[in-house]
Amino acid sequence: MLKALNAVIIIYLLAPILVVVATAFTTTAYPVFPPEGFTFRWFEKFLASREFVESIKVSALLATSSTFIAAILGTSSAIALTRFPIPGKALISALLLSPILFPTIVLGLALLVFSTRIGLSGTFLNLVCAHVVLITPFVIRMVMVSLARFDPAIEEAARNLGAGRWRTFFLITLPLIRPGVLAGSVFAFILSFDELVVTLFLTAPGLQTLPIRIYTYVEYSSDPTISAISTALIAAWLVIGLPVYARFLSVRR
Amino acid sequence: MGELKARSGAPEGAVPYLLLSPNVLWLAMFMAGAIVMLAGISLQVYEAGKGILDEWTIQNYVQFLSDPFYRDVLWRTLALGAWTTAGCLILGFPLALLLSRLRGMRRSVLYFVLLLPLLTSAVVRTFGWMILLGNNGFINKSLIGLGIVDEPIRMMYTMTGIVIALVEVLLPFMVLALDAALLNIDPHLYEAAQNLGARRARVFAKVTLPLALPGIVSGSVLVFTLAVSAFVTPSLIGGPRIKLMSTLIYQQSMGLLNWPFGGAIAFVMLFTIFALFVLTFRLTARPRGG
Amino acid sequence: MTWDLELRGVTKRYDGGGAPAVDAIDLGVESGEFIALLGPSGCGKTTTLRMVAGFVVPSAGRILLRGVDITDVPPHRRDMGMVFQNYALFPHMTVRGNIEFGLHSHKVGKEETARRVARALGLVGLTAFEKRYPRELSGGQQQRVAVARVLALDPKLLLFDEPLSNLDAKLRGQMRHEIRKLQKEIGVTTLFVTHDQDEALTMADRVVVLNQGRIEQIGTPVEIYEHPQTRFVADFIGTSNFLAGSVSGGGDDPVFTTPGGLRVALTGSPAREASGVLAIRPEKIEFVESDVPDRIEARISDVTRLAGMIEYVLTLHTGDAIMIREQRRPGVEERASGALVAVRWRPQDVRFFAG
Repeated sequence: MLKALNAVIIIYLLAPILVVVATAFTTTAYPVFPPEGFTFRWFEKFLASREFVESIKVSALLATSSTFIAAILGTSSAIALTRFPIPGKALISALLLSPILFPTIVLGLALLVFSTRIGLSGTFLNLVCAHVVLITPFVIRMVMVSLARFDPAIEEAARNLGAGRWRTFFLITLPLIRPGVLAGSVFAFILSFDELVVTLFLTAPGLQTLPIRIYTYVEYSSDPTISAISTALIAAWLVIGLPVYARFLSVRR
Repeated sequence: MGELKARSGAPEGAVPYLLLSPNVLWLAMFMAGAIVMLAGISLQVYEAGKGILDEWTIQNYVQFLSDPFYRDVLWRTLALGAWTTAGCLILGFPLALLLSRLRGMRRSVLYFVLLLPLLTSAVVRTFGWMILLGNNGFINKSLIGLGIVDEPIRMMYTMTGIVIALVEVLLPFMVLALDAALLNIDPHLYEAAQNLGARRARVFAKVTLPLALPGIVSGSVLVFTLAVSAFVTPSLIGGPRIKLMSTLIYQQSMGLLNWPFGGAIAFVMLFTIFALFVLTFRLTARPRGG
Repeated sequence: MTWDLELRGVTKRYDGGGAPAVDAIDLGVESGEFIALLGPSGCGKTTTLRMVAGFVVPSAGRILLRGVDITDVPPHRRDMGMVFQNYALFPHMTVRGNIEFGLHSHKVGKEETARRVARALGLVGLTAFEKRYPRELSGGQQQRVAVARVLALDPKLLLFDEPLSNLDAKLRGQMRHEIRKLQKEIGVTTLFVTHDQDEALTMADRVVVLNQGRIEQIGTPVEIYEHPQTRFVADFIGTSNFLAGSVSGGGDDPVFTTPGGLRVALTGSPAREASGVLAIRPEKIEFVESDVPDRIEARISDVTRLAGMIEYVLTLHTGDAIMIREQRRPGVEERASGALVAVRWRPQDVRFFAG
């Protein structure tokens, strides 16, 4: 009984994704589920659209820059929180992880006001700064898991054998936390790429990210082009995310 | 081997602070600073044509909380939060029970199935629901085809439709929170209860549920917060006619340029969420047995 | 003389008050000595070792290595080798890589590195294992890699943090022997932390007994065992019978009396009248025939059979209880519970501790 119920729930959970992927190939002019026929023309349409392709470039650049910064900030914070005794550690930890819980609609407006006042609004840098805030906690979480998995005495052993702090970090700590840094970074990248609400507040002409284009498109029309784009994104995330996730899970010491 | 010189480089005690400061400073600026500035602006007034006036007033808050139109928006938003949380609890518990009982590969697979929706952006999932919930959508067509209803049930542009979609969007959060709590229950407790004569339903009611309470609470608080502040799903499925706090904030600040009023609504939202946190904390903090 | 390692007033206090974890330790270690830091958990032995290694900063006191004050020197410049409790091998490097790491960190040249790695592997008998990864090795082998890793650096001091506690009993005995043999061969000064007194007493040149952050006694294993200077040492090391009572009649013939009326003559001079405990080890008491002078009469109240010996709990005619251990020997019968017996001990085997 429980199994049947859970099967239904899982179908419910995956329903919209399945629908989107299925309608990407429909020959009808609007998304119909179940789809009719089979065609790639919506993929062609989306790849031919200059606006969509431009927005992919913007999103990719934004996600890459933000992830790079988030990886550095997140890894250093994770190390500080895991390996060092700090007064008020629980409070600092809660603060650094708080963006996960914080309502994006409020943060979006707050950053709009803030960035306008300090003259940063409308710039690419502004978007990067905002995204870094949103995605760094995920890097912190994943790296903390990786750090917890190996005996801290290993780092002490390295220092005892003559390695200073930098050498110990690059030759010992980093290789051992690499799965966590990677998994956290991939997750952060995907989140940044898909981010909509905060970006909506901070966007400007020339800075339209893919999610914004999709959102504005969906508001006024719905044709399977959106399905095609979404399917492409899902496929991309699966291809990137699965191996990294599998590696991260499998590392057991 | 090597001379024994006194310490060089940064003193050991400063290292953690050096590691933390970039992140902390970043958040201080782009989160704390921004929020404080928003709070400040919510105490000012916007006049069309004149911009933001340079006087302090709580007029925005008064307006939002006293005008029946806006109060409706507030209640509607809270109701959305409540319904979504309830839906996630009811659907999430069975799934969490299953997840907590699986081990190894099967658990990883189910875990991944749960995370997959989180990897697809809210827009994509909401779009999927738009296709499903329409009057000519799959759900209605199936219901009519099966003879369960004669006419399509209106779900798009209704609160019902929003709840159906939002529950799906937020379900993984609830399941993960419940799973974490369920994993903490010593499996021997179930066996002990059965050994003492309790049947399955009783075991569930008297052992599982009470011990899973921390997960129920944390999952509910999380889902409620996310539901109340959700923007994408309510705006796309509800349409311009259904007014919720999040869509109102967007409309006021981006459409009407009334940042002060938008800010006030935002802080009412924050305050509601904060009150929930405090309430939960007070209720769940167990007094030390004496 | 210059000690190889010297601790002067080394203290460690933690925030939040409470007693210090390590309280003004003074210790001098000679070159080539094997010193065991022994004590129950929480006694401060590991904290002391970690201060010597540089992972914990002392709240007060100085640490000197061959006359040079190293208290402020960071751990990677101290020229000591530490073997950790869980070995702390680098899981992502081979055995060879693990041993090379320290040499590379000290910028040792390629040829010299190769030579030292080969020598270190040879010393611990793992030459055939150099390409293996730590996860492919047994506990004992991992232990040896950890030792080889520090030996390759020819450190001035070797530090061991309870390295054998994760091994099974038989392997432990074997490793004790090997480590000690190796240490003697190389002649490197060594500090060895353990909570296992058999380990300390069999391996060390001198034993430092610690309790609650303070040194109770420093001495050779024989001294510690035969001449404990404090009640704690008498209790912690081996087994002792303790009889509460008081000493009176100071001067030449002090006599210890228990509340039950047992009178014991003491040699040496506890000088003043004092109350405290009398300590005597079970194996120092012997059964005697019932006509021997100086005997004490008792009744056996409990018999426990251990491997290789029998433990008897006796109730003396004064009401005090003591325990005797007797080796199983051919021709010696096991005594029955309830039997009346007589025992005796030598005055010099008895110690009195005031307080």
